[in-house]
Amino acid sequence: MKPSERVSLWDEEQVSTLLAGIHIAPGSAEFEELSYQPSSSPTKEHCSLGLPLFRPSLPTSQMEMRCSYCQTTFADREEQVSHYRLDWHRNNLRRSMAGKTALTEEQFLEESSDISSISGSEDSCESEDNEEDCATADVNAPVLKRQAQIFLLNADGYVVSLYRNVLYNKSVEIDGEQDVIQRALAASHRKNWAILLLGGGHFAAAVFRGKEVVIHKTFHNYTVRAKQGGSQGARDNQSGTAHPKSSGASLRRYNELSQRQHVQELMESWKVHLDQCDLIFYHAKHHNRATLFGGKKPILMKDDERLRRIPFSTKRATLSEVKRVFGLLSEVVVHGKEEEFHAMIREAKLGEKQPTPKKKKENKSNSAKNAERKLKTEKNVIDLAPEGTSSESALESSEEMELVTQLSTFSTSDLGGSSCYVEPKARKKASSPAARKGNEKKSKKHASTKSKNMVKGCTHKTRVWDILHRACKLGNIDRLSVALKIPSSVQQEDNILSKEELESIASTDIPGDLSNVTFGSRHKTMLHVAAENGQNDVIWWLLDQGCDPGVNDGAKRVPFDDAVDKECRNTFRRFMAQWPDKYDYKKAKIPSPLTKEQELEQEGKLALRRKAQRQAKQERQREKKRQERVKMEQEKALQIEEEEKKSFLAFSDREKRALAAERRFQQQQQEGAHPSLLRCFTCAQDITGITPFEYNDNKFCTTKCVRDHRMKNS
Amino acid sequence: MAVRCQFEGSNEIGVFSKLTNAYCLAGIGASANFYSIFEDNLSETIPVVYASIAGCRIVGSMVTGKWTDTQYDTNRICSKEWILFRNRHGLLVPSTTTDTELQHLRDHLPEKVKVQRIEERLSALGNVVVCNDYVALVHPDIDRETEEIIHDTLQVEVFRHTIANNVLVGSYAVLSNQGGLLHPATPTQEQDELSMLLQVPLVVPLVVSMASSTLFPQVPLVVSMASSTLFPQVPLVVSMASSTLFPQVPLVAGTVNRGSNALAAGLLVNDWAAFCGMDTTATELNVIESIFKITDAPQMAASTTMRKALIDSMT
Repeated sequence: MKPSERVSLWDEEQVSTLLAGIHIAPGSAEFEELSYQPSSSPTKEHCSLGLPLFRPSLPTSQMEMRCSYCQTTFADREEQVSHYRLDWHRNNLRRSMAGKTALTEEQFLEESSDISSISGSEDSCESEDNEEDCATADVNAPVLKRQAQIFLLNADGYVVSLYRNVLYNKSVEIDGEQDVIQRALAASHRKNWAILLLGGGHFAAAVFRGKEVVIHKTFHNYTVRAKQGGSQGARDNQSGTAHPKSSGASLRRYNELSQRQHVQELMESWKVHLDQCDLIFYHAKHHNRATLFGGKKPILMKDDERLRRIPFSTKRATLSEVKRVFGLLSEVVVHGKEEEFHAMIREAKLGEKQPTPKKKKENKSNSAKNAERKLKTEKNVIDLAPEGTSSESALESSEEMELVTQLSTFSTSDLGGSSCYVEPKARKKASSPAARKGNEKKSKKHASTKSKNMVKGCTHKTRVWDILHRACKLGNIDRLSVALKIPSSVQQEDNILSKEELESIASTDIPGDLSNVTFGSRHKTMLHVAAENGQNDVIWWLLDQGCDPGVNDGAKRVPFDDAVDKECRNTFRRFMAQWPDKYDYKKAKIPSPLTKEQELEQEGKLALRRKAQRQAKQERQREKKRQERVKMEQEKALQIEEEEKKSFLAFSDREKRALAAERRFQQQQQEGAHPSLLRCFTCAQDITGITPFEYNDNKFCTTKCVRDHRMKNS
Repeated sequence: MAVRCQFEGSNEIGVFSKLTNAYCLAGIGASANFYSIFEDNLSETIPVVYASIAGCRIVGSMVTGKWTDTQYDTNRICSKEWILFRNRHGLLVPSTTTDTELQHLRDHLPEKVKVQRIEERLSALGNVVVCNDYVALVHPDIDRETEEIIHDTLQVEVFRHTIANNVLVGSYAVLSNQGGLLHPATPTQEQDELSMLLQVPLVVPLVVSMASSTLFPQVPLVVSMASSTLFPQVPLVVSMASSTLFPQVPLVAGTVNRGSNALAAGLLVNDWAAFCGMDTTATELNVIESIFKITDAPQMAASTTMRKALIDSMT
């Protein structure tokens, strides 16, 4: 018989030998419970009620005087009183607190010869003693936490275990060792089991007799909400939320109901089998419980003694899962000899204490992972320890160490390399020529003797490229031609470039095809640079010298795309007109040639347009002026009126009257100048120029006058 | 009749006060309501003294830091108790008590009560010692010198013992001369043993002595409400011919304050009065009253003769 061997309960021969002469294994939780608790221990409920749990120990003369710590009896009171003053009693008291057995008087006397004093005031001795006690207690009797299994020690000295739920209903307390043993022995004779699994819309049930499946059924309904999980019923029962009215929701709702009905119908038809069953195991959580225990005619009664829960987690309810559960529940596991069992407990205990360091380790490996990720994000990928990348979770501490050191070496080498090379170049570009010299010297000094020539070549080339770039940018064709070693038709000035520059030009090879001269990471040609900066002369000169405008830069842009303005583009087009076959202009994306005539035509058009524009502008200005004048006049009139009003208000009433008279006089004079042609026939008011009211050729100013006239005449 | 009361909202009245047959100590600074309960019930017969110990008003007990850390169940409220420890013969206070406090106690307690300050590592004397006027149970680790002092000052027999595997006998047991209440997990066997241990070598007590006076005709009867001056006159030890005649103190396991097993913290008892925390249930109260025999005579009648009549009329 080996440790962790599993024997089916239905394997009668083996089981009978396994369970021969069993009792509860020391070290298991049950053993502790049964041995520690007095048979009539007070229950919690009793305590809270304050009920007297034990009959009051009434004074009885029959009771003998005894000390239970020292297992002695006393003849009379004096003996008893003196006993409690003895070191022997004190020692036994302390031993009982530590969970050790009491010593007899003789044993104590033997021991106490070693111990000089046993006074309670001696701290050191006491604490040592205690520590020792603790240590021994821990090592000798580790107790397993309450498990799903009950551990039994059989006659052969093997520890075997059975699931508690096979022996006991949840509500039944273990009542003494004999009870356990009887139930364990009876377990193999209770052969009719039923197993019901419900969950997530799945249902699986089977009835077993021994190993055989008597009857079984599985089915599945769509009840679980996709992605969110949980049943529809649970969702609906959430307070404060609306009932989903989607078709899916109603479908699930319906399915839940129908599943319940279906299960109940099925169980009704299985009633004969279920009634025969000795044990019924079920897994039904939450609303599924209602399926089994709810309704008017519940399938199972809650207080059924045969009902057992499944003491481990189950997977999706299928027949194979039911069989697996049945297999697990119905087996007796052999844990080996008693010593092996104790070793197992000790390990389990250690395992319980460990979680904190474990967690730390995880954190460490996490930080290592982070470091690794950082490394990856840096553009240079270094070949790390292969295990580290392949199985990150399995990082050991040694690997962590390795990883850290690699990180440091990598970073220094990278920094050193790039700074040596990049820095002088960058500085040179930015600094003035004067400062550049100094820099060059410095960089020369920096350069090691070994790579002196190479570095020199590099610096010469970069210098020439620098000159070219600047010339293109600034439009200095002379410099360009010198740098490119192209003899220029124009007379050269000698001092265009410094000696050093000339020297470096001399020592640099210029590629035959000028479009091969590229700058920077985007690989711009000189034409690109010139077009970007609108250096039309340079563009023309470069095109003339054979720099292909059809060469792309890194961003797939031709120089024509980069041209800043129309004039720049026209330069390309003009060149195209002049040398229509020199380059592939389609590739250069230059749309059409621009000839002299076209240009003249265009210029003429432009001139006409400008003339028209100018005329229109003059017209607009004239109009504007006229409007302004009108406005001015109006404003003037208004101003005069305002002034008149002001002066009129400034007059006294007499003056106002005088003014009015003067005005009337003036008016009369004016009227004299313009005699009135028509007057009202009734009131004689001047109605010259006004359409009069008239009847019978009589003319009036108002209807009132008309009426008055008629009244008078009639 | 046992009285329910609270010390400033706390049910652990035993922490803040002490009661014996000769005096009552109450922590200073409580509400007048708390004091008035004591004064109403006690001040006619014994003095109620307001005191503090080592500047603390928890006159119930005293704990050393080491003690609390190592062995004591800190969940219990009474772990913070600083108990001084007493019976009607004397009063023991821990070494942390100041001189003024000691003087105050000497001034206010009856002259016959000896006040003694002791040097003891386990300074929560109330937690480690429980006694009535004749017997004391002490913590197993208490000093031998302390044991001697307890024996001399309080005139008791001292027994090192535990209660339901707890060393804090003072917290988990309450004793009077009438009876005792023990930790609810105390096995019956231990109860019997303790009961034997606590047998009173002399019959003094009140109701019991009346009832059993026929057994001890030669012992003078003492009225329950005897003033403290009477007590010293009682002969302490009378050797009897047979030990069978020694009456034992009836013990019971129980709880106070709705299931609390920290009995000493929730219960104050002497031979004729009991005070318990406000949470104490009627059942607990009933147990306390019956075991400590704190029942008024008329009420006894009500529960026996009158009850019969009442129940008759109801049926």
